[in-house]
Amino acid sequence: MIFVCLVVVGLSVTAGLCDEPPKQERILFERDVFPLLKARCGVCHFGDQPKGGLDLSRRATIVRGGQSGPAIRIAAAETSLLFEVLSSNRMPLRGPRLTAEEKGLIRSWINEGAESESKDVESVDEAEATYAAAEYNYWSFQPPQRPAIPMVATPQDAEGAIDRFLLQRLAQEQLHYAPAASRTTLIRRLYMDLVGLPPSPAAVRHFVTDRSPTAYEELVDRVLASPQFGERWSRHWLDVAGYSDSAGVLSSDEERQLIWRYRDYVIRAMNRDVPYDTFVREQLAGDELSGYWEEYHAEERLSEKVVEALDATGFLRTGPDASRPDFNTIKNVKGLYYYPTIDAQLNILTSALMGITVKCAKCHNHKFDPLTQREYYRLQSILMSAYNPDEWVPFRRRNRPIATRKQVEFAEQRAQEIETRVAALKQEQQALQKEQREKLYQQRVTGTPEAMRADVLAAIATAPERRNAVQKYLADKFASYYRPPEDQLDAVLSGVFADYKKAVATNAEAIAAEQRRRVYFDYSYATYDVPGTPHTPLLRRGDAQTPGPVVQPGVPEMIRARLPFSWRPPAEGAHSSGRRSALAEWLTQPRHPLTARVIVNRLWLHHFGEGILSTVDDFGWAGEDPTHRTLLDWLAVELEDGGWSLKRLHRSMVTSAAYRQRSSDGHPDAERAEQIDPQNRLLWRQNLRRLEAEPLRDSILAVSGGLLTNMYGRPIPVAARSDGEVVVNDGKLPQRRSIYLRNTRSAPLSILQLFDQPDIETNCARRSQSTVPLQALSLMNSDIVSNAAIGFASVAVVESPEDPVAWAFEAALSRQPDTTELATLNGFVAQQTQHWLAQAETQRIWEYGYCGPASDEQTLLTFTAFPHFGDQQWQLGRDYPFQGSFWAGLHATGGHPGAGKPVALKWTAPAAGILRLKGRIEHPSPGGNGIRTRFATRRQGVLQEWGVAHGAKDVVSKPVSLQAGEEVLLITDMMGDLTSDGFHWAFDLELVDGEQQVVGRWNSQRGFHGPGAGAEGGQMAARRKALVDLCHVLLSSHEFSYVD
Amino acid sequence: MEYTSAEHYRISRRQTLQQVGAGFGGLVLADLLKSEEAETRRIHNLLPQTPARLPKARAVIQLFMHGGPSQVDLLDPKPQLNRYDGSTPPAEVRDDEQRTKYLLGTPFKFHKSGESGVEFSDRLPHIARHADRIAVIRSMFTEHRNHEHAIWMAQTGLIVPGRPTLGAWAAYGLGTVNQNLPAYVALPDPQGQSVDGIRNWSSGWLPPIYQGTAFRSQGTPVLNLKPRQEKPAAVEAGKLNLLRTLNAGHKERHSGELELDARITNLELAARMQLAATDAMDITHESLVTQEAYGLTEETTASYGRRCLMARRLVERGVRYVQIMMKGQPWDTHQSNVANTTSCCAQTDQPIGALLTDLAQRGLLDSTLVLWGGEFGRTPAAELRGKDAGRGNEGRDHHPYGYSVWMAGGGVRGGQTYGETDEFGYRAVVNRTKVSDYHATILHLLGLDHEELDYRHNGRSERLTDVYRAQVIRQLVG
Repeated sequence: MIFVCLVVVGLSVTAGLCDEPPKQERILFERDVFPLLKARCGVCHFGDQPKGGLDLSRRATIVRGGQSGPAIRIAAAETSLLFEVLSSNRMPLRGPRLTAEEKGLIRSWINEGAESESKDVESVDEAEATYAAAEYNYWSFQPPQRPAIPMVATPQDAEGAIDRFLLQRLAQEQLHYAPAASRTTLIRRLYMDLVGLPPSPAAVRHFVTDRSPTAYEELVDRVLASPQFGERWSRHWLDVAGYSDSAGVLSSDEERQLIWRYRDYVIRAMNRDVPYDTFVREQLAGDELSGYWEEYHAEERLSEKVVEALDATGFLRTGPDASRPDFNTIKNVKGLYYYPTIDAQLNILTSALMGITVKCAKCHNHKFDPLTQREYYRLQSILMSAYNPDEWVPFRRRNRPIATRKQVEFAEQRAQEIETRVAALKQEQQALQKEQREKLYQQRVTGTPEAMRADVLAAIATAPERRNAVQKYLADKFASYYRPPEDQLDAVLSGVFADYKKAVATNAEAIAAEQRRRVYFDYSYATYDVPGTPHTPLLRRGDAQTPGPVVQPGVPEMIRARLPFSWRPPAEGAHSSGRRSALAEWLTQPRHPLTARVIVNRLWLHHFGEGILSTVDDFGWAGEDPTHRTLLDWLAVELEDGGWSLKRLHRSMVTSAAYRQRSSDGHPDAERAEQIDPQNRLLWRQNLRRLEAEPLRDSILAVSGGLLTNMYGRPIPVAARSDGEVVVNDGKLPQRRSIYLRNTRSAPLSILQLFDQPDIETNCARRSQSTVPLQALSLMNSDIVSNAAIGFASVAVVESPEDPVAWAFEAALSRQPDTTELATLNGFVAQQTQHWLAQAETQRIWEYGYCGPASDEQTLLTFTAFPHFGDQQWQLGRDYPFQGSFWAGLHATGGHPGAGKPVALKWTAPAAGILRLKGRIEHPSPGGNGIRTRFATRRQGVLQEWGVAHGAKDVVSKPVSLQAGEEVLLITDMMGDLTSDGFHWAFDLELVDGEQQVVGRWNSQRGFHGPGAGAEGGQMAARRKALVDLCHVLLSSHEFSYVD
Repeated sequence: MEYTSAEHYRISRRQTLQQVGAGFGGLVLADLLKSEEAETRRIHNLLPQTPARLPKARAVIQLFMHGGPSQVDLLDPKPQLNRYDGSTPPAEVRDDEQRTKYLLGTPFKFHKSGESGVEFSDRLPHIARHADRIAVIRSMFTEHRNHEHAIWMAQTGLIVPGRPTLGAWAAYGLGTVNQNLPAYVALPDPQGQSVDGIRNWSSGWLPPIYQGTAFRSQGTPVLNLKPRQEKPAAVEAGKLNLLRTLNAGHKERHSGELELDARITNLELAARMQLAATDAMDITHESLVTQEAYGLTEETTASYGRRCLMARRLVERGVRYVQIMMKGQPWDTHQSNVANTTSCCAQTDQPIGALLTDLAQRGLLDSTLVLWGGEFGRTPAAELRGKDAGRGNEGRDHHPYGYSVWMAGGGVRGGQTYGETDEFGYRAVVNRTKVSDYHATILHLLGLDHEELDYRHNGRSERLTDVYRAQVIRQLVG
């Protein structure tokens, strides 16, 4: 019967040179490999007590391996220990080496799947470990209990539970809170924390002057209710969920086109204050728990609730993923590409929702926590029905239409209908075309003069290579005339037959109308179970090539929840396996040991700068002890008993006296506190915190009036410039909030990356914080901040024309400057204004205008400045030529004279001296009669004159003695004929004083300038630039980027 | 060469704590210390760190050869392969994925070079002149046959994405002596990004401060070094002054916040970097002889030569780790292996030879480790890809089971080869060298211990060599 099992496979090599090798039979352990191993390795590795624990007598024990781990990796000989030691002749220790053929046999056997006749399946799992009972007693794995609120003497404004817990602990060290922060500090802190944008000056003033005893609480409620709250807090959660708009892994970093719907779900959930337990359930199993499949099969359309729940499951779609559709041809693809995605997703899940790290247990039993490798795979099994490596769906195809089956079927039916009708319409058109083509042919043949008709037809009928000269001529001329080529046919027919043209248009419109009837759906990047029952083997050493026994879904035993994880295999024909729902129910059961504690700690981290437990992603044995365990438990229980409202939790934290303390100097007992608790873990003051990348960028945009506040939607593209900087909208304002920018793994926005936006590989529980010079450079020099400063200055001038300086300070820093600061700021603006004026002064020396009309020299020398500057040119008005006919204009390298308006470049001597001028004038056009340039001063009249036509001329002036302030003019006119009078010029001027010292040198092209420098507006323009400088400094200052 | 003195603005909370510890009640102290152990979180900086051992190498120049150069054509001569050219591979080296066809010899000649007689292909004449300085490892193997994964292995130690690169570990472990320049500089090809893009110099989950800074070899080297629209010097100086005043005022109100000092220092560093970075990249000061030696006057070698010369200038100024990249993956010779390998060699051989000469002449080679290699090698058998593929223009496919790299300078014992592949150059068989051994050896030369250099991430102590039983290759480190 053996022969029945034999599978003949083609191992053939379709080589160009070598012979076709014979078809080979698949290698079997018993028949081919066993005898070899027995003969060469059997002495040591067969029997009851094989060397190194490695028994080579059975396939199962080879796969399981010995002390050095599995001896083979299925289908991966090159990395199998057995092949390694044999091929390098490290084994056998005694006796001759294996021959090349024998090595080849072992190699091929492994690579072809290490097949065996007997289904000798491994059942022993030596990976199972036992832990001492005490290891299961770790505090964080036990359900939290509501602790009593400490009865301590508290100040009047610190009677809340949070403060009582904190003050009790501080009292043990004889410490107490810092004084309360000022209202200006408080409102900025609250805004930055909750919405990630600074308060407007008006909001600050309103709060500061609000006499209501509950002014602060009312402010908290207003801020929590603002839609920007969700934009700020969703970012924290998206870090934890490992959100990215791309799939990662491969260099191509393919875009995840639909995942933004999950981002929008999180923003909405935060804003609507979706209870945290619901939030968890929806993200894990929204599809199952909302009854998606039931609605899909039974209803007309999906309810909003179901769509929302589908989008929520994007939480399980964030992991890095390389599964391109064509990857299914790769050998051992599961281990190489599929399992890493499942593992990453599992890590995200456990770290986000349970605050524990399980990934160590992928390869071995956990070193710190009582978590076995088997339990890791039980957890993995929960995801296996959505990510079944045997039924893998490449990530681009992983989505569900936002539609029911009826709608989908209707759409399909409609599509078929459309295709049928379109095909018919096209056929109709083709038939008509054919008919008309024949008609054309007949018409053109009969239209040909009878004398030559027969000759023409004969010429066409003759094979091309047989035609004589005359026939060739006739065929060339008439063949395509009678029968136009395919690509011109429609045009010709339409030209000849008006009816046909009409018919074609009607037909095209009919087809377009059909296409418009197509039904399209949006798609959700949802998690859903794929058909088929997955099996989840424990992978020895985490290696897909060394599978072990199969496990069932389950959760780690160390987490001592009261209710067990409860899952039954689904009934026949069920649409979904229920595995994820079971996990969701288990996690959100009353008093789950981890669920509430973990999220409470995250909120605390962001409000106080440090978690109650600082290892926010490790609640296990290796994690830190909480500084206030009872407080943590109290908050966890409160969250649950308060209907899992996160906003309520936020409120209790930010209204505490602890939160409202000062962070800056001023603690009366600071020195001692600093000694006892230098890290401020006991919260004897509030912590100074640096703004994260997104609120920093958003705030810069917001105060500058450059922030677009529209919410939701597809990610905003970012693009790399040629210098590598990744920017939005080419660095121009306005821009959207950071949460809406496309956030790919390979091309993060430069400014965000620089300020520690995490490189999302799996996920980020806590951001690191770096301090590098490039951050300072980016604040000082990047386009986005430079442009923001310009916008900011404009806003300041509009909002407070009288005192834009003080207003800008307040807008940026949410407080008014004190008198010293105000003096510094005003001094700065005055000084910068001087710097800018000095620069303008050097530019002002050149002015641009026109003279004349040139009836006499006196009128010729009347200089009028051009009123308009546009498109890099001085001209008479906005449109050019002005009023359709006035061509007068001057740009950096030349210009054009106008009719009756010679154009003039004016240079004003900054001091008395001798001027020498040299330059080049060019009249490039071969047309017209050329131009004339006159060199004059207003005081001395025309000094020299140069005519140029159809070429260039180098010119040099005689030395001219000038008084200070004397105006020199270079006037160009058209010499009577206006055509083709565009010209180029460039002049170098040198002024030497009485002592033969050079006063200065000027170049007309380098000195060219637009408005703002020379005109009366100079002072204003300089002051505006100084204000821009001030705004830029404010945006770059520490006070702007730190939350006090 | 000017180094700024190391300003000790980082003051460890832990140190403070230990100093005051005596007067501090028991339990809280223990808790806090535990937290310090658990999360060695600090305000990260790049101040010079003292390595565990006296280092042989102070700097690294990594010449990464994207695509995977062919070992049997360049560094690992295989007479048997030439003899059996065109024939079916024997079973022990047969391609189990059936992607290649017949065995393919090399048309290149190998020559014994230097006193040591190490053999190099005739495609590498300039590098071969340094044979006595070079150690060739012929027995490398890796774990993935796809570029990205193999690149991660080569650069970060595992075939998973998102880990810190070797350069980031060096910056983390050693800091840098010149605070005016980044510790870790990447020199990407101005023609375009290499495969795997910015991940080639990523710091992974190490803080971003340790990631490579990409310097451009044309224009200003660093982003935002200057504003796009330059302003008068007085205007810029005025702004900087006001910024200093405001920041000083802010700091005055937060006397205990050491981080603010670090940030203030950074502003000054930024101002200095504007000069230092521009100067480091300005090769116009180099003599014409030097420029010619690096091949800057020849079109073929100019681009790579420019980056090699910049690498030397950066190392000279105290940069810890410089990485030179080529556009795309030029060594990925699936088609026309001979022509493409020749082309890659023509672009790089002379500049690399000049770099080694230059470093040696300036006395920098002893303290500068130069690394050459790609993410894997290429098959000894022919790949016939494309419809015109045939005898004479065969390609070679990716090959992880045996390949060659070389290292020189920085304490490496040159003039030797280490390890062997089988007689066809298919599989490393003698002194098999896994990537983690290679990494451990590099760290060792930098004075770092691969088992001790760790970083706590997601509740786990992470190392470059992860859980591999990595060995420093003693034979290489002299």
